[in-house]
Amino acid sequence: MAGESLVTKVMQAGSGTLRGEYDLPVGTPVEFKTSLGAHIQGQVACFDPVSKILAIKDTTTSKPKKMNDCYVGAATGCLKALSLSDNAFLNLNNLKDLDPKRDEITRMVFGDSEQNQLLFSTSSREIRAFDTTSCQSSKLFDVSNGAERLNGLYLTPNDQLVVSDAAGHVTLHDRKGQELSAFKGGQGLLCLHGDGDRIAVGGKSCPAKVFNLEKSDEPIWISKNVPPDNLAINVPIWDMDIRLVPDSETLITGTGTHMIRMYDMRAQRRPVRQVEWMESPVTALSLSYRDHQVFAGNTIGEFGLFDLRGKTKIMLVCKLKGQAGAIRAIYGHPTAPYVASCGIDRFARVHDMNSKKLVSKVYCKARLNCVLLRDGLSIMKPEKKEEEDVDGDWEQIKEAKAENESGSESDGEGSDIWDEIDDEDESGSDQGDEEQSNNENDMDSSDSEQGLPSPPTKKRRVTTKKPAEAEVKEEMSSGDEDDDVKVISATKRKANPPKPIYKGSTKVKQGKRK
Amino acid sequence: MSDDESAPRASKEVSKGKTTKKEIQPKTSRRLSRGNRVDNARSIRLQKSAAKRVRQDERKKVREKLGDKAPPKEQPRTIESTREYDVTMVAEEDEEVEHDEEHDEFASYFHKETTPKVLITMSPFAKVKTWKFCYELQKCIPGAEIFSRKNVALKKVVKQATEKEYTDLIVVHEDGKMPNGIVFCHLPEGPTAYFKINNLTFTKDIKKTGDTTDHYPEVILNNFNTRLGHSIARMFACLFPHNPEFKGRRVVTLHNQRDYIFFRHHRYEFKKEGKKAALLELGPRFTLRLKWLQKGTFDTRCGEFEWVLKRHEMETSRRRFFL
Repeated sequence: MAGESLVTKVMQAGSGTLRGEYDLPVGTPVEFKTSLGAHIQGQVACFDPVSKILAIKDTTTSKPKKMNDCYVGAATGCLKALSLSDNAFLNLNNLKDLDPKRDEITRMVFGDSEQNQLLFSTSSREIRAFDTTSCQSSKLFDVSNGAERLNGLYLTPNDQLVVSDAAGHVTLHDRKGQELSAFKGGQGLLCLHGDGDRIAVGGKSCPAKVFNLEKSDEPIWISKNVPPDNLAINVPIWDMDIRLVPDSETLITGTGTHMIRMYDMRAQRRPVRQVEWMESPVTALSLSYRDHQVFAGNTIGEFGLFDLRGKTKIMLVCKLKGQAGAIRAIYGHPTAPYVASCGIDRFARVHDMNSKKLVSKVYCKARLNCVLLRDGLSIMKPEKKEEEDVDGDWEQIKEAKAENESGSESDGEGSDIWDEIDDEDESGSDQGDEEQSNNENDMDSSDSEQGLPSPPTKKRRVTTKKPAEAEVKEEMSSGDEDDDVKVISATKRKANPPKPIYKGSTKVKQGKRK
Repeated sequence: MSDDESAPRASKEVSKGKTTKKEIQPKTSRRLSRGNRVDNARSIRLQKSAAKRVRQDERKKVREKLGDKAPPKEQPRTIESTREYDVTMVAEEDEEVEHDEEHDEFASYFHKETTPKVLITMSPFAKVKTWKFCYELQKCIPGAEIFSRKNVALKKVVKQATEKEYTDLIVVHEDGKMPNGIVFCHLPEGPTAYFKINNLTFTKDIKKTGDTTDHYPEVILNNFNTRLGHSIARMFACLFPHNPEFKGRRVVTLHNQRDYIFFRHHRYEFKKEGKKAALLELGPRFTLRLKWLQKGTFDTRCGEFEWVLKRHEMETSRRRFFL
């Protein structure tokens, strides 16, 4: 089973009864007691004798603790699995064999739909695969033509690999390394992104191109440089990262001239919308789980969320703070409001898109080049976690998630706040009045809060708190009338804070619409 | 009731009267003379030190009384000793950090494959104090060469220096005719760091200085404990020759305290058969503060920054340090 075979327990071998020199090959059954008194029984999944970190495939405990929310690839060649709830990482390959000049991980993608396999390209032009279930690395093939650094990797839906390098060779391979077709990306290529059977490439003095993998090697669309600036000087073409929005004709690029540009392939070859952001090159872009929002990061470690719906330009929604150095890669979670970023300040960070707060940061001890987030994260809302813990099977989780999404009203997840607000906006003014009147009526009955259209996250918090408060209230009211009043005021104080925030946000929204 | 109230009121008035009298005295004294103020300050200082001595004696007595059972001596709670926990603190024998450092840009120096060759230059058309500061730096770093900048772009300087196989480039920036910043660039692959200069004292202005000899100095890099601190310390180490000449008894110290790096230059002498050391300062004396560290050679517009001091984001706690 997929869930059971996940790397489950990680501990410092020195803290348990395991001491001294050990050689533990993968698959050996082990059994020992930890310093906290827990009894562990299982099979060795991964053992690093030097750092004395042992990963055990747990066969006894019913609630496995996962060590793989997130994978990062480092410039030293290290592949790391992160646990976001513990803020810890585990090296998946042996550190001693690595030579950064040869093994540096340049790009990384998931190799299958279960996300158990990782495919990555190294600076020595190799494509390697890593299986997270067996913790074993294997070389798939060498990309033979040329000597430039590989800087693009994409796995097509029919299990073929697209690889690109700085000299502009874009090639389609099958898993054994046989070259199926080649495309001319253009000299100075820097980035590649794919969606379905389309790929987009961009680079320095290499205009952004979109290819169809099934058709011939001619691009189906080529961008055109923006007009010269007000001094009649040509603007350099310098796309540092590129993204194709799925199921649409939209293309987004981040440039070295600190612009974020949005192209509509149906409309024209020049960008339809663009924005200049700060004064440093935009090095990383990522799509989010909302269609109209993208992330961008630059070389001084500024990380922003952008909205593509502005009338003439792309709008900055917020900055996500915490980075100290240049951002090399961003990965927006495809279904949840989380985003992971990593860079050369040696930290991998995960932000919550709704609260805009830093959820977790992990110090990874090496400069990081690429980051991937799994679908199920240990930091997600507790309801989901329980579902995961009952049975780790990914298919069940996916089914549950699909159900959750279909019945989004009952779903307490914070991700749908904006959608709900949008829905409510149409009748927003009336509801706002209702809310106020409810506020006033609060003194009479605290139960009327349930009918309020407060944001889902807040709603859940209130409902969880309420039973306890209601009980207290009943007990108190049986005693004395004066106390009763006090209790109501206390509950009101607790329940109130979410409302002004919500009201404020609706007002702002209304104002914008007018 | 009225009697009860009147009594405390009266007492208050009395106390007010007293305080007003007391307040008048310092005001007049302030008006009177500076000497009085100094006397006041001295008496307060003496009182405080006397109180401290009393407390120390008490503690000493308690310690003598209890002998071995005495509580351990307390460490003073300074801002630095109560600094915030930093995850990047480098532990001893950290396999991964060692692996990283073995393959970084300074590795060739530490494997003794390259010998340092340092170029010192300054802002275009630098004024006399900046030149002076450059000469002072040359005095501390053996084999450093000074060249006038002559309005050449810094990227060109980097290119030329790399061609002539310099291993380090130091550029002194000036503002208001005084040196105010230093760019350190390790060649050929970087990294580049920018420091602000604080509290610069030239050798001439230091009392009791000695003459510098030509011996290779010993280098003390103190208190660089985080991963960023390690990189910076390694960068400084790369400026100096590998084998110090202990005969010269010359020592260059770069001491980090609360992210300020103190640069000092001394000659030492052992006294009382090696139990004590006397120090003679050779100068100059200045303090550096890291502003940014960049991967690669100098390119502030397009280069990737490894660490940038974002003051409003990072300096939210006075107990958080990065080096």
